[in-house]
Amino acid sequence: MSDLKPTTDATFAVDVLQSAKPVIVDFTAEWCGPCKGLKPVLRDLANEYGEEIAFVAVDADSNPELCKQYEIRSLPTLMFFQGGEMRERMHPGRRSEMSQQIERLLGAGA
Amino acid sequence: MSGTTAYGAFGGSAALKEALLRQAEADWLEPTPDSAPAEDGARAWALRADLPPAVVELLLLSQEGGVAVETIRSALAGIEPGAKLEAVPHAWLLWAWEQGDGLPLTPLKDHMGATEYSAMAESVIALHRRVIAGDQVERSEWRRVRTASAGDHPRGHPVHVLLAASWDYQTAPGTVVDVVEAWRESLASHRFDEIGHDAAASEALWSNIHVRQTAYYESVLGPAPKEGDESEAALAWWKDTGPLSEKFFESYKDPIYLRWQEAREKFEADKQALAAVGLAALVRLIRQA
Repeated sequence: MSDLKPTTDATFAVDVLQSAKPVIVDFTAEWCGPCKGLKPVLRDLANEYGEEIAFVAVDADSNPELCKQYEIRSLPTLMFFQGGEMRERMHPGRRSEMSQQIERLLGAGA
Repeated sequence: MSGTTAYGAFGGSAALKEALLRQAEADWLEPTPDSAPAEDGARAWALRADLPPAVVELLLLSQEGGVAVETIRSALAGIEPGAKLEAVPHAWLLWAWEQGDGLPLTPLKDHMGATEYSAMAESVIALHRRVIAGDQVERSEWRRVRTASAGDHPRGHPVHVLLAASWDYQTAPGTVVDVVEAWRESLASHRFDEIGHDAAASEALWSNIHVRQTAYYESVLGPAPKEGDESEAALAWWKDTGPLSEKFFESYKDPIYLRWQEAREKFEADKQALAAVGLAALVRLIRQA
């Protein structure tokens, strides 16, 4: 039930790029209303898929380098990383819609 | 983890119930324009109160749909200390599937259309029935049903209500939010389908409105700024369109727009009915638990 693990410009390489598991990265910000709406969805998905996927959050305001590197133009932005590479930008949606994306991405990486 | 965790409301204590109700009042039980923090607060509160979070989420959704806070307060106050409510959100889905108490598109089982959708929905309902019966339904079973039902199903089709429900409510208590959202979306589609207003018609309508609206603004304020113009003059022009927008729509009598507006009003009424009737069903199920 806890919030997603925060990652930063400094820890992104270890938390995401070198992760043994695929990682879903949520670029978010405190002031962003839609980000708040997405939070409970990601929390539930993390409960469901936490054994297979790591879920982390990047505070866009505090981590400009990552936002620049991954061309973050709107919030929230969700990205699926696997093997040190960004595989896909995900579409925020209902749990079942996001689950379909996750299952497809996990299947594609298997 | 399965859907059979035993909750005893308020730890079985009337004193704790009273204290927690006071806390709910202070923390989240008031209308807020930003539902996410309320949802967070409500979920944490539900866990402290030994209530299934999905039940509290359903109460919050009724509030969002226009039900008065006093009604929600009274629903919470009606929960007996020690009541075991873990099956209630599952029974609520079953109510929507089999009854629906006269809401449009209910009972949902009669509105699946294609056999394929009925079968998908039945497979979800079968798992909910097992939880209600006290069976342990594994997360892998929910996942299997979800994966088997994956596909590009038409937006706004009632099958999405059931597909949204294909989760273990213990792992993903926010599932009920998706269920209600999918139901609302089906109601909207239903009302717009009634007037034959599809996505293409919507695009044409709003494109036409945009052209006429811009012409109206230009007739009052002078030429519109070019796209991407962020000069002070451009920003002032856009700011001045604010008060004109209401006037424009007051006098805009295009018959397609008027029909669209009527469908939208019907949908808003449906949404409020869903909140009120859905809450009444929830309260009934809580009392029967």
